[in-house]
Amino acid sequence: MRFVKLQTLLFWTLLGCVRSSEMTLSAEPPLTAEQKNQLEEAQSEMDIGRNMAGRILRLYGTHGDEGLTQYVNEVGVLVSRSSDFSDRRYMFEIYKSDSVNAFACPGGYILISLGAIKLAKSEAELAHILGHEITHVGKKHMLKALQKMNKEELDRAAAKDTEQETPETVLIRKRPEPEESLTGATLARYLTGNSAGFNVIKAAKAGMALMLEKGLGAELEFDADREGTRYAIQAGYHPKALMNFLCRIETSRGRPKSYCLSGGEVEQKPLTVLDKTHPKVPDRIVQIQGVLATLKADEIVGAYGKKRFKEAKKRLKNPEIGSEAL
Amino acid sequence: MRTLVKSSVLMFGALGTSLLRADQFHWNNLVVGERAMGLGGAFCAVADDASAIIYNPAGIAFALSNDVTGSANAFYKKQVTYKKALGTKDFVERSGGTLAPFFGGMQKMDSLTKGLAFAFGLYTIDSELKDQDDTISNLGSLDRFHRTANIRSSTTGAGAAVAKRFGSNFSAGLSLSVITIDELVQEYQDVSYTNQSYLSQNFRTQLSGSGLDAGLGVQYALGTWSLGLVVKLRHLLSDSYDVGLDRRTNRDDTGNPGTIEVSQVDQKIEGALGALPTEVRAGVAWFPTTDLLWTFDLIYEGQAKSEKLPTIYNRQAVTNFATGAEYYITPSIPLRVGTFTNYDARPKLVKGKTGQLDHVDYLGQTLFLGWVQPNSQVAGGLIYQGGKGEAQKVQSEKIQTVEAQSYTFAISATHSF
Repeated sequence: MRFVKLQTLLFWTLLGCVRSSEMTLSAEPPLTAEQKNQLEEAQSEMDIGRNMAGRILRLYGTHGDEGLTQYVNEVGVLVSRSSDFSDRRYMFEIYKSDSVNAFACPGGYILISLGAIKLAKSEAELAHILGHEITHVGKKHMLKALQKMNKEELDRAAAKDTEQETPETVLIRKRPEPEESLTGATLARYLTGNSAGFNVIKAAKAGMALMLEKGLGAELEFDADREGTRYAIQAGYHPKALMNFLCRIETSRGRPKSYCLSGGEVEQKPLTVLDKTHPKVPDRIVQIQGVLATLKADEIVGAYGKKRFKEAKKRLKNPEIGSEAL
Repeated sequence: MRTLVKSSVLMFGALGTSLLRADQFHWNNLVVGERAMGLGGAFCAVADDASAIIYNPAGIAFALSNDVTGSANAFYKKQVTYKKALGTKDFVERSGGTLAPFFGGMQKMDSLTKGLAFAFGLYTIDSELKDQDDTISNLGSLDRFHRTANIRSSTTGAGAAVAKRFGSNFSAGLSLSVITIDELVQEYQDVSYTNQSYLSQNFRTQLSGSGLDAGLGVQYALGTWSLGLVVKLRHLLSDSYDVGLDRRTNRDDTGNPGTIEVSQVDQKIEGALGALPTEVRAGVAWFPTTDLLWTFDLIYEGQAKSEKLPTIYNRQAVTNFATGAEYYITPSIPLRVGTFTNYDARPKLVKGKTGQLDHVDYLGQTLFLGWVQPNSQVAGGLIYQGGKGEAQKVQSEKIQTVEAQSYTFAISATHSF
């Protein structure tokens, strides 16, 4: 319920920004075609992201602790202000799952699992995770991936999301995918606030399929690791926090620390959503080490924020995560 | 008390042994629900939207999306023609109005338990507004007959349904609605005869009732086929029939002028309606392709007896059927057609008796076109019912042929999320 309030507040805030910019601009010379396109894309991005965030929270549920959520928001906003996308607005929410993961939905909706918070040992680790997701949002990784899809690919991906765990006996009732017309899109824009020219629901469904099954691809994840690390460091956090966190994911599932630092053959474990959608931890560590070297991280003194983080985690009934959750 | 009411009804002027009455005798007067309307109400084996409360609660467990639906019958018109009721002339009764027969929503609740779904709905299954004003002059012994009559009637329901899919093929659902019946009839007659006798009377009846409608339904999916079965048990919580009559006449038993008689009746009969029928609905649906759907329902409405007013409210068991088809002309334009029966629960008329109630069986057709967009759809169309039957409109053993037509233009909108 609280998420709905937050979501509503954010939506109106964001919409207010768009509308107020429209109003401001209305006193200025008329918008150029390019500006109109940018405005529409921004609306699309928010609509899709909001829809995706709603779907994830419907799937998992929200954690619901206002104090902890506010704390995560404070850390997230701090990191975002040190990022290349400080003019954007973000909303951070905790979803109820003991699996370790986080999702970046277009438009600034960032969701982190309770499991990730339980596994983290410091505020710095939380800041790095959020920095990773802020990069996805700021660089529009998901939105661009969706825009690159042609109609058939989008249909397939959206159908895949719908079809996940949906029995054939239910799918048999599916009717043809409607063609969105200009009139329909215009009506939808005025009646529901959805943007024109982009099928929000379909895109959100396709985005869900990407997020839960295929992922954005290794290159974009490496990019998010590198940039997220940089943003967290710029915010004053310890440079190696993400590395520590990623290694803990592996050690908590019984793998040696040497594996995360140098790779090698290890016992196969059941794939988690994180495994399916992200590169292997050793490969990510290599990328992070690369950026740390570039930034001369050994000379940077960053904060861990362990005490504050421990204080925030006291709000959890079971603040530590078991390895079975991974 | 019953005798008094009966005699009041039977002495009801030259026209009107069959008192003007709203309809508690047809169970299919309004077809509700966006897709169900188009399919002629043959929806028991589909029922995957909020109208499942009416057609089969088990259907929502097979829904693909969450919906909010609102329907509005923008225009409704009905005409009943009593052939040669007045000598060689026909007698015509017209009614019409606007109404909103359905508003409902459906929410999947897979996050709680896989295959769980919930729906709510407000619906109108019968509604009538009639304003009748008839003047007849120089007909046999009648010098002048003037009647004005007004009917306001509605049967509405508000309820909720919950359903659960077990495995991939089978679902079961429960629905519970509160039914409200309200029928108000007001009629004024002023009759003068060629022999200087006269009759002047005001007549008013109001049937009020409330009841519970509990449905238990199941659906079974088998490949491209779906089977549905629902049993609806209805229980009247309360019902009453108020009768008010003010009558003044100088007409004696032989029809000649005599002493002036003034009579008044003011009665309230509890339990007049007696019962509501139990419904058993069985349906089959075939989904051969994403473009095409065919459905068929068989609907049995049990008898409903009234101990207090059997001459009016004893209703026989009837079996109706409905069938419909949906075809997507383009991925955004579905065409829906349907056929259904709406049989009369009153007994057929027999020769040699007087004071018998009308009996009119209807056959209905529906034609709807939709316009579907990614998250929403609107549909509009026409429901036509043509009826044939018999009546005794004039107080005698003479039986008239009745022809009836009703047209309902309906529009509906659904938003999926």
